[in-house]
Amino acid sequence: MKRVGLQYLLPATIAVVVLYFSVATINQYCFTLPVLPTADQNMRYLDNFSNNRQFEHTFLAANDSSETIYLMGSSELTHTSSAAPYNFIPDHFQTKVVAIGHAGNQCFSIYSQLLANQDKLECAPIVILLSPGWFHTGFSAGTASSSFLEYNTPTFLNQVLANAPDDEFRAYEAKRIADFYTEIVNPDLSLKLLNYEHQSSKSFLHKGCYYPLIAVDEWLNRKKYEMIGKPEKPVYRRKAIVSEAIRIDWDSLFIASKEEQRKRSTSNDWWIEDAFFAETNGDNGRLFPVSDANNTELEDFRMLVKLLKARKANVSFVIMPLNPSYYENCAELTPVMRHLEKELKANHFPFLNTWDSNPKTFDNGILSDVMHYSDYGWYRVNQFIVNTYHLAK
Amino acid sequence: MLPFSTYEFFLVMGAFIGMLLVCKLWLKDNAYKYVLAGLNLLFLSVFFPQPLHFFVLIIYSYFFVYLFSTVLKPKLKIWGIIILLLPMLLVKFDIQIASYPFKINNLLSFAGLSYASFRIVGYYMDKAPTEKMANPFTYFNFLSFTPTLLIGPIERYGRFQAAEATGFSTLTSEHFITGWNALLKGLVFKYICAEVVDRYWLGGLEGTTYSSLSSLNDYYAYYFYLFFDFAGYSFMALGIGYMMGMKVPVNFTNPFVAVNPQDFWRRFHISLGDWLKDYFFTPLYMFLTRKKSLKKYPITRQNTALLLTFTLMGCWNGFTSNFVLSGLLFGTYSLIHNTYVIQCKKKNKDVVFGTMNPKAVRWISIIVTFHLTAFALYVFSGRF
Repeated sequence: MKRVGLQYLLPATIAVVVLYFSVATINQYCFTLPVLPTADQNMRYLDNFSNNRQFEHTFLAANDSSETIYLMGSSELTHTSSAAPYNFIPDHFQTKVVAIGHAGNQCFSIYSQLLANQDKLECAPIVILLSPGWFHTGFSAGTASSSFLEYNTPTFLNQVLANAPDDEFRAYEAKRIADFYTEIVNPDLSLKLLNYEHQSSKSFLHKGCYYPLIAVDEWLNRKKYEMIGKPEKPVYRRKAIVSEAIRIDWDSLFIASKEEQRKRSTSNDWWIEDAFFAETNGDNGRLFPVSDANNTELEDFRMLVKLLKARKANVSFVIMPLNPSYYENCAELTPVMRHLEKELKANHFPFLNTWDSNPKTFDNGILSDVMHYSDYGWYRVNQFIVNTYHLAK
Repeated sequence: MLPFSTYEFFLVMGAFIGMLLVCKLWLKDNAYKYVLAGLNLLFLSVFFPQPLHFFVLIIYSYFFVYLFSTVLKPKLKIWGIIILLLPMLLVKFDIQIASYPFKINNLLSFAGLSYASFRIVGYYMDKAPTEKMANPFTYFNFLSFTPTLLIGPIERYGRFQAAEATGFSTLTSEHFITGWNALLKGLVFKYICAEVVDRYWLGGLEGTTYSSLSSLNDYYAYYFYLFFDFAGYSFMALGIGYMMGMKVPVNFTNPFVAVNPQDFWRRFHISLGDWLKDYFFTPLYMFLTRKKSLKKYPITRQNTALLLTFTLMGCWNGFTSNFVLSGLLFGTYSLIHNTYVIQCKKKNKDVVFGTMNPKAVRWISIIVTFHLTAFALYVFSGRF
């Protein structure tokens, strides 16, 4: 044992001690932090936060000259046009709209971004686009880990860790992170801490086993931020939304844009743009609804609504449709859509429901393909936002 | 927390080793397996992501091994093997039932399932009908021994039982030093060598002016990456195993100097090669030998068994084309090499190299084997 102590354990201990005292110097010389560009005040669309770290601290804040409405959703936001709210509203009103998201930014990802910034949630104008696609097939298992990490950066996750430890919202965040934790390669310390927090809540035994690991990781996390510097303090600007004397002739916009959509879909009667329709080969699609018990996305949605209610956000929702002519079993998803509507009604949140599973009554032309808004669809959303937030007198 | 996935795992293992050393002071040798079972149980139930899955597999396999080897005793062991491999097969086939929105994988899959399944089949194949069932504690330790839980090596029950039976007496400074050295070697392989290859070599030519050479670059880089990554894991498992008092078999010994495909599998993932040889190749070869129609064709029998064995090895990783194709490639290499060896024996001379200097023959063999292996592993990677 003497040999083990002298030749193996002692050198290892010395190495650890030397590393402890020299880690700051090593970091200083070997690793440099990337310099972030200045946040562009006129930015209208962010695909995620991991590529746009400079916007982390301005998220949910008003800009210098007016209030900003935050539009959060998934793939529909990447179908850009002048009619999209983040273009149409800033082009016509003082109030800005910043859209955040692309495919995969589902309820839990949005929940986590908002929870990280809960101090700024009160009265924050937010519009959340709910895609029916999130609530069926594998998507109903909730936000994928890769998508979650795109939007929920270490800065945001550390902000979640700064929330009250006994908070039910933080506990839900930790539980959901634990669900996909093993899929993450080289998780950040903040993710580890949230996962361990959930694990340690399982039993007294878990608590005892995880306690030292949490203590070590908390210490490391503190050291890390001592070295790289704490992230910029979030901005807490909140401005009143200005009602302007602007009159928009919605009916004309609806008629013209609907006509335009008709012209783009000459190859079919389903009002699907020709290019996309060609990809479908004229075949119908099918939905795979999930029972409520298996629908994690629905649970995420309920927690999202609960969080926004508790933090008194000025939030509204848009329930998007699917093309019922294309999806032959569209009606099977209606119960889930009714759940969403019921939840929003119960919490008195304004919402626009464009879901309709009946091909005979469906507002043809509202979608450009089978699930993304056309210009006509966006104008309907714009009208809803303008009315909900009283942008026009 | 999965084994070796994070530094905290090493802290937990350090605590386990410490606990075993303390127990050695107070307990008798025969208590070792119970202490080990307690530690494995603690890791599974507190740190492992899906403990229930693992516990169910252990109970399921223990019951069916008992049923098939002691009660039913079917003439052909294949039925027992199919039942024991069923959870793994359902996962590998990636089945989706129309009425259920998720794949079967989502329900059944868990880390370490493949390795556990191979250990289970090994135990079933080795167990004689008259032999008593394994001690439940030893069986539990055999399947859930923390250092080898996730990435092997594929242990054999007999060897594991013998190592466990030595009790606390193997917790010696010699074992600790052997383990420590293996652990350090594994850490360097996995966290330095594999990381450097992955970051700076693999895919390093993509998007550069030399992108046309990208595939060729990856062809070599992937071989080195796979070796350092996998061998790194295996050495870490071996190291921690030794420090916990269990002799874990060596899984890698210089595969880059292999002179032929047979030699390669004696050096690369040795436990898998041995497992396939003992539990698939040999029984299959014996089965083919008993076939009257094949009695006159010993080379055909051997080559058929070889090709099927390596195809199975490819399929073990999944039923996707890259895995199956790489298995077929390794099978083809072995088949050609086997034919060459038999021809040399028949004609009593080297039918390819003739009287060439043995040193030169050795170097040529190493270079050819290295390139062929790198190609098969490149196919395996699915990067083409």
